[in-house]
Amino acid sequence: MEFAPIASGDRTAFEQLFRTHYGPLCAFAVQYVKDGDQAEDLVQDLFFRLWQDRERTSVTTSLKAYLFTAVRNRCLNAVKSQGRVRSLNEEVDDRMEDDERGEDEHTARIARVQAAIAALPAERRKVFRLSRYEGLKYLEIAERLGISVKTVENQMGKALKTLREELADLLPVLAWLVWLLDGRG
Amino acid sequence: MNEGSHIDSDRLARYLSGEADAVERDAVERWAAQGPENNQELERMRAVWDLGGSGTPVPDVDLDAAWSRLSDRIAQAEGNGRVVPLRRSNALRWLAAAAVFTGLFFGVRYLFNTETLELMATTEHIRTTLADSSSVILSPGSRLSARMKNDRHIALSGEAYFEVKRDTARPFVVETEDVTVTVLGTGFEVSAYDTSKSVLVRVRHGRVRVVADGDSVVLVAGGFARYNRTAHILERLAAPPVEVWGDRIIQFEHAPMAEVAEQLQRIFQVRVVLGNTAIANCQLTASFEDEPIDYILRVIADTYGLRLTEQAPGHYVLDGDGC
Repeated sequence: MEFAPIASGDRTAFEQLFRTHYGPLCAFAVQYVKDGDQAEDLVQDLFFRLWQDRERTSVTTSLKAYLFTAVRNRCLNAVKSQGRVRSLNEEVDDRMEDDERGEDEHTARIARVQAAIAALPAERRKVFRLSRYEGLKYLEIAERLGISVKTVENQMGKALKTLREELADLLPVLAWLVWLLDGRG
Repeated sequence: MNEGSHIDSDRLARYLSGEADAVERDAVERWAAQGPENNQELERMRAVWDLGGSGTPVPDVDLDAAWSRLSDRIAQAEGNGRVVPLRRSNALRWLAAAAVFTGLFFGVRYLFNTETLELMATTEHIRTTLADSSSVILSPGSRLSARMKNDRHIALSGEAYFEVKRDTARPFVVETEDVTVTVLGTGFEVSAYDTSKSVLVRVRHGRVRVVADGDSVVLVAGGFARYNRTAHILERLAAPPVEVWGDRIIQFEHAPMAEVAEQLQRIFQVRVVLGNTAIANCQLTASFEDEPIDYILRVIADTYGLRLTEQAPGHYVLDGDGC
C-alpha cells in the first residue's frame, strides 16, 4: 500500500491500513511489553500519530516495514522506562546474560513470528493455534471448527509455508538457534 | 511419495505437529537425510514451528472496537482545532491585537501574556527564543504573534527567519495572510510583506510544507517557493546563489564575487571594491554565521589568494590575480 493517499487525507485508505496491520502489530508488541492492553495502547498511539502527522511523514520503505519499525521503537522505549529486563526463555537468558543485544534479537524473532501468525487468514490462524498451542490432533481441530480433516491438513501446510516465507531472511539464524537449543536441551 | 528436492508442506506440518504416524515420520527423516538442502529445509520448518509456539500468548483483538476507539480519538483531536487549516480570520485577528499596541515604543515592542507572545520589529532585526526553544529573527517592518500551547502557531506579517526545535507531537505552523507553512524541525524563512505582491519561503535545512490557495509544495534544504498574491500561483524556484538568513547568516553557493560584494555591502552597510574583473568572476561557496565583515572578507581573501585592504573605515578593497 502506498502512503500517498493517506498523506493526502484518505480516511478509507487509512482504515484499510489499520485493519490489515492492527492485529499483527499487537501480536508483535505484546512479545516486548508482555501485556495485551499495553500492546494495544502502543499500537493505537502509533496509528493516531501517523494520522495526525500524515502530511509531514515521509515513508521510504514499505508501509508495513515502517509500521513494524515504529512499533518496535515504541516497545523498546516503553520497556526501558519500565526497567524490565526479562527474557522469554530462561535457557536463552543464561547464555545471553552478557549480550543484551542478543536477548533483544530473540524477542525480535519471536515477535516477527507471532506477527506473521496473526496476519494469517482467520481459519488458518485458528487451526495453527489450536495445533501449536493447544496440541490438538487434526481430528479434534476439525471437530472444533466444523471442517474436514483434509481442510485442517491443507491449512496447516499453508500456514507453515507462509510463515517460512515470511521469515526467510531470519531462517539461517533460526536454524542455528534451534541447533543450539537442541544441543543444550 | 515425492522423493525429490521438495517435500510438500502438508507433510512437514503433519510431522512437526505430531500428527504423522511412524511410517510418515520415517519417510520424512529419510528425505531429510538425503542431503544438506533437505535437512536445512526441515530445520527451517522446525525453527518456525518452535518459534510459533514461543513467547507471550497473543490475546484476540476486537478489530471493530479498536477502530472505533481510534476514530473517536481522532475526531476529538480534530474537533479541538489541533489540525487547523488556513483561515484568514485567525491570522488577522491576532495581528489586529498586535496592532493595538502600536505607537508607544520605538524599535522593539512585545507583550507576553500566559499564552501569546507578540513581537514587532521596526528599524532593527529582533532575535528571540520562543517557549519551545525555537528561535526567531524578525526583520525590520515585521510583526509576529506566537501561540505555543497545544500546537505551535505563529501569525506573521513581514519577514522572519525561524530555527524550529523538532517536536513531533506539536506541528510548528506559520500563517501569513495567504500562505501557511507547516514544519517539523528545520531552519527556514518566510517573507510575507503586506506591501509585496509575493510571499517567499526559503528552507535552509529540514523540511517544510507550504500551502497557499489549495496548492501545496514541500520544500527541503535549499528549497525556495514563491506565492504570487495577484495571480494566486504557488511555484517552486531555484535557490539563488546568495542566501541570507535573518541578518547575519549568509550562504554562498557558487556565487560570483560581484554578487557577493553587492550582498556584503547591503548587509553590512560597507563598501567592497573588487580590484579587477578577473576577481569579479570568481565563484564562492561558503557560509558564515554571525561573523563580522572583516572576518568574512579575510576568509574570502585567503580562499583566492587575494589582498585585502581597508582604505578607509568601512571601505574595503580586494586585489589580486583572480582565480
